Amino acid sequence: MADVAFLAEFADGHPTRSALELAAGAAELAAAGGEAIGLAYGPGAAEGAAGLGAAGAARVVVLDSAAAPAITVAGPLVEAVRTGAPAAVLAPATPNGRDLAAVLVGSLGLPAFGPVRAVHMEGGAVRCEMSTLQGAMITASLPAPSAPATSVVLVSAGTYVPAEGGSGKAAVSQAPAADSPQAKVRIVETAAEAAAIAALEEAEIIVAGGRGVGSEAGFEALNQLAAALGGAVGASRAAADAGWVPYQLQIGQTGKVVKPALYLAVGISGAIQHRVGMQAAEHIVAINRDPDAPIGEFADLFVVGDLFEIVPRLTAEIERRKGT
Amino acid sequence: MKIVVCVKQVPATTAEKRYTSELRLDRTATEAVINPLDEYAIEQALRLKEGSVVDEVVYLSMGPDSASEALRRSLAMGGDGAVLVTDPALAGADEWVTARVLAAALDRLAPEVTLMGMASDDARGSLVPGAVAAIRGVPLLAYGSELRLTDGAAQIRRLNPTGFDILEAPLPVVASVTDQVGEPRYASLKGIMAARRMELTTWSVADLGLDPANLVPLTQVVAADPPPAKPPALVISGLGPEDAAIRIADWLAERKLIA
Amino acid sequence: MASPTSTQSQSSATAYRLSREHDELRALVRQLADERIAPRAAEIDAKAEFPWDLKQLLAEHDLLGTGFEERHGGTALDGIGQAIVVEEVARADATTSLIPVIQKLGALPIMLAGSEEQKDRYFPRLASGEWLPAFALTEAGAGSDVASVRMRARRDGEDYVLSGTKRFITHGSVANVLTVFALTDPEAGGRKGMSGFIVETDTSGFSVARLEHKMGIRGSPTAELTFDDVRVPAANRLGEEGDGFKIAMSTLDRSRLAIASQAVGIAQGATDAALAYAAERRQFGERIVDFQAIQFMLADMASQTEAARQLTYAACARVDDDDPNLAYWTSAAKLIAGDTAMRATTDAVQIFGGYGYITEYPVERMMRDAKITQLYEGTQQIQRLVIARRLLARAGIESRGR
Repeated sequence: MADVAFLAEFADGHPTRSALELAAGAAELAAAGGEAIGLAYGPGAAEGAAGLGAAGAARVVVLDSAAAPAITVAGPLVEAVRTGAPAAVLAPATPNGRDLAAVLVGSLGLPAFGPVRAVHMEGGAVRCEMSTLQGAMITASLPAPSAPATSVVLVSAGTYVPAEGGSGKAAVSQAPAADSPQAKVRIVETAAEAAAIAALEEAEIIVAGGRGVGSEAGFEALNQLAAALGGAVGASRAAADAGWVPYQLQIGQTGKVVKPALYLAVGISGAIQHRVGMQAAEHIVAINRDPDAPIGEFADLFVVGDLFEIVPRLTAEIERRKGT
Repeated sequence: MKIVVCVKQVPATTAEKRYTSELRLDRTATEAVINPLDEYAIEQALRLKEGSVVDEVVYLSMGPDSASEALRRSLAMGGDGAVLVTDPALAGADEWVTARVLAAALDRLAPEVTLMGMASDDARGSLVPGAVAAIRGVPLLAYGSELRLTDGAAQIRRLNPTGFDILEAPLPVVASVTDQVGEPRYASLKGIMAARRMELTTWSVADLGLDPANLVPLTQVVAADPPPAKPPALVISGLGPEDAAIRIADWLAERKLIA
Repeated sequence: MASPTSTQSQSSATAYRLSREHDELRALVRQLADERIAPRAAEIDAKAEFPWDLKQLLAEHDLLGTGFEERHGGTALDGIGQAIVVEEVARADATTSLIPVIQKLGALPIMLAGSEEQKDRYFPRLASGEWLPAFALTEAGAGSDVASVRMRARRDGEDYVLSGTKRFITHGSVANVLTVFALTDPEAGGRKGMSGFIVETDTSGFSVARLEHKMGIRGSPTAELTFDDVRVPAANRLGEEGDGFKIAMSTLDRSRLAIASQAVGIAQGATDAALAYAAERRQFGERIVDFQAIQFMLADMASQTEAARQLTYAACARVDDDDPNLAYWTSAAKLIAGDTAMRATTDAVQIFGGYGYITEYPVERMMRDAKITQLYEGTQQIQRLVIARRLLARAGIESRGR
């Protein structure tokens, strides 16, 4: 069976971007004689499932539509994968995606890969390309000969592009209820600390600030530059730890992993913990006072100078070119 | 209440250039260290013990004999005991095998909370906590920036896109924490001395009642190459800020990243 | 002429060996020093402020109790272990390294001559770092010439009343307890009439007259102390009346080893800094570390530092063994290490060139800090006297050297 399943997370009644990206990915992988099957959960999953057809899904199994932690759908998810036995299950490399991927591995003894740079089907099994040792090596991996026929594949945001202008409805079915200890996890409190921050993983252009920015007020210049570029603002862990930005903006080993077309690193030294979160960006520009900053080793353009002088002038120059 | 913290021993990563003794410029060591993200789990466990909700903190590691080093370093930060699962059959174990072995060891240790770091050093191994939870049939509370224990339940604080949620599950649980837990403490000298005196329990695969035939890795690496070499950065320095800004804008325009 | 007597020290094997535990200890202190102490060094020097936060840090990690018994809450490390602690802290900051140094120095007279009751009374708080001690011997007129101490301790019933002034007392203004040396029998002179006392600084009559502004170790308070009829119970006298000179000399014979370790640490820090800088600095199209001239300087700095270090460890082993010759060894170590620190830091500034002279880089501070190791706890000239005396004695040569 060359079916490829994918986790389709819904939030606020809509499919998340990861659901749409993975739908496209699953459709691509299943192309040779199989189907892309969505495994939908979250608020709006039941209503929106059919609409995933336009994104590339042939069928969608609705696991649950409750507003509950993603892990609580583990029971029906494991059953759906056990009975459906797709060649692969694509999961987003986010905390929710990893939680569910991990439960699949533990419950069904499945091989797991990722986050992958690329994945292909070879003879009904996945061949996954991954960056390991913090970017020092690229490996290609396969399931072991003795492994079950279903592989779990973690996919980073931006690896696939959502289908555009698709149509068609997916066939929807309801997963049978299935018990799991994970159903005992519940949300007892929710706090909204900031206006919804557009997911960094979706941004094509990111302006990120680090220790060199020096203060919360210092980020104002970066906000303006990002606005001029039509991009989003991110930060290194140092800036988040210092309280200059919320943790949702942190990019790096313990934060978000991003792959934008342009990453502008301002006052960021480029330590490995940050690097692993952004080294896959297509173009990397760094502005730093320190000519020996490690970021110079993997940037495409490295500007040695005072960010407080350069950033506002860059914003003005970009606005000027737009305005004319 | 008992917490078992799973720690992994990893090779020390190359640090930024620093002054060193023995006239070595970098700090690459062939010595092994505790996986840095596990130190946050250790710190969280020790704080809970200081709050006297927890009376026992035990460290568990799977690895070669030398992994006992990581366990001693963990004990030097604080803690009551350590268990090493070591067996030649476990060389080359993947996340699945690791999870099976840790789960078997945890069945024996029966803690109320199993605590782990969120990932191992190169961000692989992030599925181990969840896989362990699934194998043991207990709830998973992962990616917590803080872990709290109440009567019979565990809670974590977990970031969401606009703020955070508090997730709760009844004990026993498997939990993982991020680096937002707070700075891990240093070992103290008395901690080092006490750790040296502690008994390390060692278990083999057979001791856990597992059959090596069932502990075969599920994935295999078929090729490994360095990534394609990236051309060195174009460096602009010594320009005034106005000129620098224009050069950057030109560079972006050439690549159609701006108008 | 008969062949000269060998003056080599008996090599009756006080061999020493570094262990795994020593390495772990070094790694712990190195980590604390790199991450928490080194970043503070420049500020401590610029503001000339005692680093209370770092004292707290060292205390919390059990690094101030290394010379105390476990029954008093210490960790009873061997001499080399204690040396490693001082060395690694000094590598990051000489001022901060004085904290473990003085923690031991201030308590040493009590260790050597105090009663069990006195030790039980004071050591727990010193081992934990809750209290700081200081060693108060030096006076304006009594530096190298210890016997010229003039401070008086007049017996009055069950007490002694101390009056006089002490000068250049390290940590004198932050100490909770002092070991003080004063004349109980002025007629008998310094050698026979001096006694040692334990004085708590919150006793009435004690005050800090002034603090010195210094060339280096600027964060370490160096105080002039005034004793204006300070009343001290007889139970705080160390040993018998008249024992003071012997106790003071015994103390210095051992405590100078900590200065040797401090000097080794300073030298190592300077060497490491110079190497790292030379590897980055490019002139004439090359890294300066590739020039032989620089490599030769670095080789000298490193090998001399190592020699000083190993001599210090050999001396530590002999002190642990209570070797009758230990003074020869500790003097030699302090002499070599102090001169090495001065030389290595001066060369480090040289390697940094103009940048070495400005305060943005650490080596000018290291050079200013190094100088004191040639001056306190016995000047280098005093060390040479001690060594020469032993040499002559071994060779059976009488001398009334001046």
